[in-house]
Amino acid sequence: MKLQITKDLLSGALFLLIGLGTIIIAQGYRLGTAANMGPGYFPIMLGSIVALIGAVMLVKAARNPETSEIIQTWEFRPLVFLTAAILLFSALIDTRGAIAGVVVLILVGRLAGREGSMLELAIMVLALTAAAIGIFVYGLNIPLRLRPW
Amino acid sequence: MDLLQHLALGFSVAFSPSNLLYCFVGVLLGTFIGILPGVGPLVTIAVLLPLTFGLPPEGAMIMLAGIYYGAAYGGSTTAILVNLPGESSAAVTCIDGYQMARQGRAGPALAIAAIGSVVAGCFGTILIALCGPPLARVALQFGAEEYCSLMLMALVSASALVRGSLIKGMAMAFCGAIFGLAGTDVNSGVDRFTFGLPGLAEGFDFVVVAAGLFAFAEIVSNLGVSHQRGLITTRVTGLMPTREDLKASWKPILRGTALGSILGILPGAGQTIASFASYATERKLSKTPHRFGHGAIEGVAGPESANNAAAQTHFIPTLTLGIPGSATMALLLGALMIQGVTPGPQVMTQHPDLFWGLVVSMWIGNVLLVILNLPLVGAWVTLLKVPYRWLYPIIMVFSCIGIFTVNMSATDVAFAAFFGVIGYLFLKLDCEPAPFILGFLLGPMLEENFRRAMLQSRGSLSVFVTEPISAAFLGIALLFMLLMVVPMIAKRKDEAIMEEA
Repeated sequence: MKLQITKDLLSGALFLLIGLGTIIIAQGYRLGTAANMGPGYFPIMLGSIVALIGAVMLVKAARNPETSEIIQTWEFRPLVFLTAAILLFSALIDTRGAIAGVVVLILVGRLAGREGSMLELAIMVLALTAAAIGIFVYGLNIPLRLRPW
Repeated sequence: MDLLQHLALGFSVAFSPSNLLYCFVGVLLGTFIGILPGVGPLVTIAVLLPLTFGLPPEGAMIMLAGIYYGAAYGGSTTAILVNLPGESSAAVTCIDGYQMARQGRAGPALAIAAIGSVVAGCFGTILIALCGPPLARVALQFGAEEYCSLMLMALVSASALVRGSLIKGMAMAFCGAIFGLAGTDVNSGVDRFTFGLPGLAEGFDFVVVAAGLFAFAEIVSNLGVSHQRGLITTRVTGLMPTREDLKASWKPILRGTALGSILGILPGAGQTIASFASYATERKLSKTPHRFGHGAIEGVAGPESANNAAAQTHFIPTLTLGIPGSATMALLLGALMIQGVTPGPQVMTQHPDLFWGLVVSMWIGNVLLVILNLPLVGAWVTLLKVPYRWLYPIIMVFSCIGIFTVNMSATDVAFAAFFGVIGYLFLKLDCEPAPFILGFLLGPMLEENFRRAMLQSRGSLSVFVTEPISAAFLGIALLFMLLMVVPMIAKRKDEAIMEEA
């Protein structure tokens, strides 16, 4: 029988991965005893529970694939561009200032949606940048660095 | 009498000009957002959290609470007018509310929803004022083992009542707890799960996780679907319900209020469950059940009241025990912590102005909502035409700057992007993020109390069942688990929750 990659199967694998990862990382922390727990005790406990649930889900999903669905589509384009936009903002805000950060965030973020005219985009960039700076810097008095120099 | 003094204090706080303004801004924003397509209250609170840091604690909480119940209210408006619940708990209102709108009776449907919401809101507020203090007094006696069991119960019931299987929800809750542990361990000073990153010494900031899971992940999945919606009713005429409408509605309103109030107190049990339970009750009690689904006003009155009552009584476990009952409550609790207030039963005695001010402001907010909503409903409806391509850049800009300003840390923004990716993965796998955020918030507290309880009991787990209160909490948790295993109930729960998707 061919293995069907269902949502439950993937979730089980994900939980197993998170659980095992937690247990492995927590090996580096002192375990202690139940009466006197070290920093590793609780994480290993949680990791074991999550890994166990993951394993059970994995087996159940592999045996009964009909109880879950298969993911039809992934929104790769929005995911990639949105994440890129946020990471660029994070990289720019300290070095190039908030204005550059916001403009890049909106421009790269638009690639995620690919809708609307160029004029609309230009208005959006101007209005949103002005509104954001106005609210945070002048309204809430947060000392953001604005310009690249 | 104590209660009157407390309420007087509450009134003096809530009626201060600045707090009235925060309340007004909160419900206005909330209604606005409840109506906007594709933007729920969770996203809004996650995005606006950083904006409230500069406010005093009372102001911040009053405004965030206003957003919360304003959005619940706005969601019902779109449910009635365009058959789209702006919020999951308004899904039931769609059934009969939209049918009423199609029959040209949108006005009475909206008015009854408003009346029901106000009645329920006021009752819920009174219940908070009455139940809060005694509950907090009991909770002050809680030891580590009671807290531990209580948190476990909250996590289990929250996991049980989301869409999908219980174990999936539990796994999400414990995963959240694992992420919550990242940072320096308070007892040993050891850095855990920091991967050597200096930005993680204090752990992930709550705002970072909330914005990533609820704002960024939502945007990605929303951009995948097209947002086309047809507006059936563009004009609402004849707001006033007839005498028959009122006669048919007052009992469902009272029953819905009672049902919602009780379900709202249970941590984890949601507004969605409350509104579905009320709908089922009304249909069962009705002499003419065949009218349900074809524009029965009882089907709007009951669920809307239940929904709003639950929204109010959710605050009881959140404020008196420090245990959030839903993801939205977890966000409010997170806001409280950021304000430097440690949630728990001591909030009421140490910050009486905060507690009572919030309670009274909710009452004011409910009245404001009606004044705002009914006459202006036409204006609100035009908001439905705002395309999503205008909304998501706004959400992105405000979340990114907001996250940055919390600690003035660009790394936090990058972490939020990371949680956005994780959150998207969760969404695609049908893993509900709500238990995750509860687990994230409760994880460190759970560890601390578990450690203390085990220290006192010299490592014996039996202490959790020999202490009566703790045993009772665990019993309720077990009951939730067993209920979900009974196939019929599990199936009905899924049917009930399915429609919110």
